[in-house]
Amino acid sequence: MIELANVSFRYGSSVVPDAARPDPANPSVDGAAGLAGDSPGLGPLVLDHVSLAVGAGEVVVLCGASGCGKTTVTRLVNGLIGTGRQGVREGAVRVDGLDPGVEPTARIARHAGSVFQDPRTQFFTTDVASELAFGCENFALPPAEIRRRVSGVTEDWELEGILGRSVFALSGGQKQRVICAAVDAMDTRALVLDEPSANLDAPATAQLADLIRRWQEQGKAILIAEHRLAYLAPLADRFIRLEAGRVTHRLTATRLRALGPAKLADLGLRPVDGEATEPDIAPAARLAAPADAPGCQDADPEDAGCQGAGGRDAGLGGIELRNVSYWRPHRAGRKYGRQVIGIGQLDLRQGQIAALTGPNGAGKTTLLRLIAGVAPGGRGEMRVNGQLWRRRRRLLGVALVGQDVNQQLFADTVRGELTLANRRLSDLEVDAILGSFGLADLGSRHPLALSAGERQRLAIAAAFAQDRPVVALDEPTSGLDLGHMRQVAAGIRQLGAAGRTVLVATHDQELVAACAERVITLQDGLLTS
Amino acid sequence: MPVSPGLAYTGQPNLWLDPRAKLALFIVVNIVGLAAPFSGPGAVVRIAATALVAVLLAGEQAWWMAASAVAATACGMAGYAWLQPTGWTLVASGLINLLARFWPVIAMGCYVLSTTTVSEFIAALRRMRVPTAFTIPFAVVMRFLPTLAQESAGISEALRSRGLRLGVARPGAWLEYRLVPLAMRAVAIGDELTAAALTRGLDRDTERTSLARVGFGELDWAVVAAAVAVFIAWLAARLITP
Repeated sequence: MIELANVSFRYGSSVVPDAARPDPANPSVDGAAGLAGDSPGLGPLVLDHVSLAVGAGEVVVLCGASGCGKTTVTRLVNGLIGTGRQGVREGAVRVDGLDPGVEPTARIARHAGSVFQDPRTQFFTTDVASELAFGCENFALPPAEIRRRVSGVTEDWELEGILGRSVFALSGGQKQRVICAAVDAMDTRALVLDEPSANLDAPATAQLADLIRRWQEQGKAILIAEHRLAYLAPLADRFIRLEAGRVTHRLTATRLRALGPAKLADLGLRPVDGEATEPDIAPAARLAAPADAPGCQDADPEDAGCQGAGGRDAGLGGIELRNVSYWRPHRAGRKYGRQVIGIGQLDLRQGQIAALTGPNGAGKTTLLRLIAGVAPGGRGEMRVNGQLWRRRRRLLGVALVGQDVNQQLFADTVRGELTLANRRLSDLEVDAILGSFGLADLGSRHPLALSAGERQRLAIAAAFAQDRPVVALDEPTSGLDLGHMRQVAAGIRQLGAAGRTVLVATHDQELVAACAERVITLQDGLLTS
Repeated sequence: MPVSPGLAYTGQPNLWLDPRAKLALFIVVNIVGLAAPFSGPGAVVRIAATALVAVLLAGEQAWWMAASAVAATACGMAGYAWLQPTGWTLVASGLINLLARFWPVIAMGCYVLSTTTVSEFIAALRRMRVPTAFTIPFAVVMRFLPTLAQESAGISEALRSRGLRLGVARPGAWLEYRLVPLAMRAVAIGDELTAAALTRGLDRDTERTSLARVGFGELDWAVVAAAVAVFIAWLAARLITP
């Protein structure tokens, strides 16, 4: 159903001469001639003779480090990259017998549904019900049929409660569920998913796995580019690992598992077993697991206890929260808003790295924004090193690395980003920080020209440079591969080692295992552990 | 569901109206709100238009917005009657006048955007034979603006947290730290929204069907009749005012 035969690809610009463009309709051009050397006006070779086939009822997972070409493959298949100005393709791509390089994208959409990583920008309409119908409406299906399909997916995906809601009132995980349901309603024979789980918590990921299994049973061909492999291991037929645009491994789930965690890590792949499906993990039990987590060795298992455990440290520094609560501003027609956060007591030792976990919509982001002083309207007390910090003080004393780093990088060079964070830094200090966050060679680059992992590390480095006693990080590893995740974890451990008290909100159990000394679980705004 | 002072759909309205009826009333409220005087027969028309806006907003339990639209109109009339346009009161009466003209119009705009889905807008525009070349970009903009507003809020928050204060005194810094990141995000969002629409089968050339409910009921005719009546009254007030 989805086939790639000897596909090579370079991204290009509009200056590519016509002669250099292979004619995708003419198979005689297939071969190595056009793309072998460095062609003028074209980028580096992103895919190098990639072949793969996904048959009906098969699930094939593309894995490998960021930048290995996974996303390019998915975009060649769903037709987002054509063959014109966007780049030059060699080899054949077929979806249900059609060539996505030639057919209009909207026509390919009838054969291959797509789910992307960022749920915020996948909605075309502004309310859930319209979004579910949107794809079917574009296929010009009769309204009765659309209604039938919409009510079908509403039931399957348990969306009754949010059907009339505005898209802007949904959490990230809810949005991704709606998108999956909307693609489900389009009922295409092939599906292309690009890191669909990046913003999902464990239950939502399990639900995604169920959906993929259902699609598989319906005989659809499913191609998934993904870093998180654990939830796919039980259902994938094949894992294809790419490195620098080449296929290096083709493995069944059993053989992938047989490689063992160490070998997987060597290949830059995240673990295949367990973690994503376990709702809660005991951090102390996990600390020994990753070989590259030296910062964790000094963790005191007693500190892994829950609220109140840090009480004996009071006065020694760190954060003390007392009776912190937050009500969502009340809306017309309701006398009181909903309580989002209600925390009686929470203490963190100075230099402690605490992971804040809990399902989508539990209030993790709200808590971090309250602590960082950017969200107005919270109640209660926060003390840092024994001093009462009101909101204005927190704004100056807590460094916040928010969910979307693209909104947080302001300078025009990487070095500039650090000096902007702290003007007192000397050149030597800047070099030292860049070195310790693995950014030494990138000092003169533009922050937005970096890879996702590098940007994330730069945002953490800037928080480090700010020299504030408390650092709050919100989902720092969503969508990062194993290598980048580990670099971020190393960066977070640096913060802790430098005596900063760190609070990390995350769904990423592998990150928790790699850096957290303590796990705090939030459920409906209340501490559960 | 509440009407928010934002630009986006906030949820199913208590009182469903056809988008065309809302648009008709919106246009009339614009004309009357911006052009009608604050005294004489024209003021009666202004009161009627404000009352219509307030009733619709109150129907959605948007009490604050409804009350503020009424209050703005009342302030405008009071200001016109009692403030002598000399000295400092000139500035004050000018500001009150501006607010009183614009606020009910803004409130009406929020009402329309908060209670109408993109699909309803598209379907209504198609019924009005507006070509796809206009309706699709229009829909994209309706989706794009609130998203961009969210991005902008995120950037402000990050700036505040980083301790970067951008006063009016440093327009260069404002441009560099505020506008450039926002522009970069705008480009990225535009690309991603386009990709999402294309892979869901949206195409300029193909026919599409729609589930969105459009159609005039008694209530819609009543709203249109009220809008037309207010408009005619406004014309009449202009003619009889010397």
